[in-house]
Amino acid sequence: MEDLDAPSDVPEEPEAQSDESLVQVEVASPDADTLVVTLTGELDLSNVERIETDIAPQLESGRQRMIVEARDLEFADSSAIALWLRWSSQVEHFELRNLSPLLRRVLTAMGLEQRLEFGT
Amino acid sequence: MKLSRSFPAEASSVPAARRFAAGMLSGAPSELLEAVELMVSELATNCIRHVNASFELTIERHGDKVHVEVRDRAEGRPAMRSPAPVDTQGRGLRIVDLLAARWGVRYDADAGKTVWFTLLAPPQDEEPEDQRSSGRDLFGTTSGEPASSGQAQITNAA
Repeated sequence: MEDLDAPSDVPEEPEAQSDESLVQVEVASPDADTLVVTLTGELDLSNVERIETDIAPQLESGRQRMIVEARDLEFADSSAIALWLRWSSQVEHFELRNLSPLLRRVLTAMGLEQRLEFGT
Repeated sequence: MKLSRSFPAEASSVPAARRFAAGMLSGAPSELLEAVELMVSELATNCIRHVNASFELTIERHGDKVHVEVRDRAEGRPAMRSPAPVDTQGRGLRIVDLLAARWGVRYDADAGKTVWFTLLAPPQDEEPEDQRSSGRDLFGTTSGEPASSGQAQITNAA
């Protein structure tokens, strides 16, 4: 038996979304040494490069402290983890705030909780 | 309920594959949904970043069990690496290994392979047995269809 009708709760055609609408980034600098990057939306292969490029000039000035605020980050995968690791290697102190319980679990299992220090 | 969709070899297929999976899992516990979305995202990313291949994603949902397959036509074998903390790559299958109840790889006779994983919904609290057998499964959908029915093939030619 083959039912070609998709159930009503399954989208027929997922909207092709540009990375612009998928993730937003906000940058603040509370003091000369600190960069706070607030990520909103979803971070993955489709937009991680753009975010990295956007932030790169902010890291060139030799800041010592980077805080990534993930409270409104609805999704992140290993592409995001790789980005955070690259960022963490460019500053003295790196902190990942308000990460989802699932990603905390994943990063802890990978032994990355020290490097990507979890904050609230 | 089982549905497949093909995705082109481009980065935008990664979020598109997650949307497709989420559509299949509407009403599922958020814990399960988040884990499936993450694993689908990892397998889609592997197809595109490592072998630059289009892929077919199949999501099968029966009762409290979700089975996912990602099939590509590329040569080569996926490797689960245990990257050192400083490495920035090689975590995709590691994440699948961590979150899935079971996972594996099947190799086709011709070129290509299927990476699959199975996940079970976390047990629901406080639900008496007699309600569980009344035709509604843990996802709130009615059950009772044989496992092989309801299959549809949707091909996204984009």
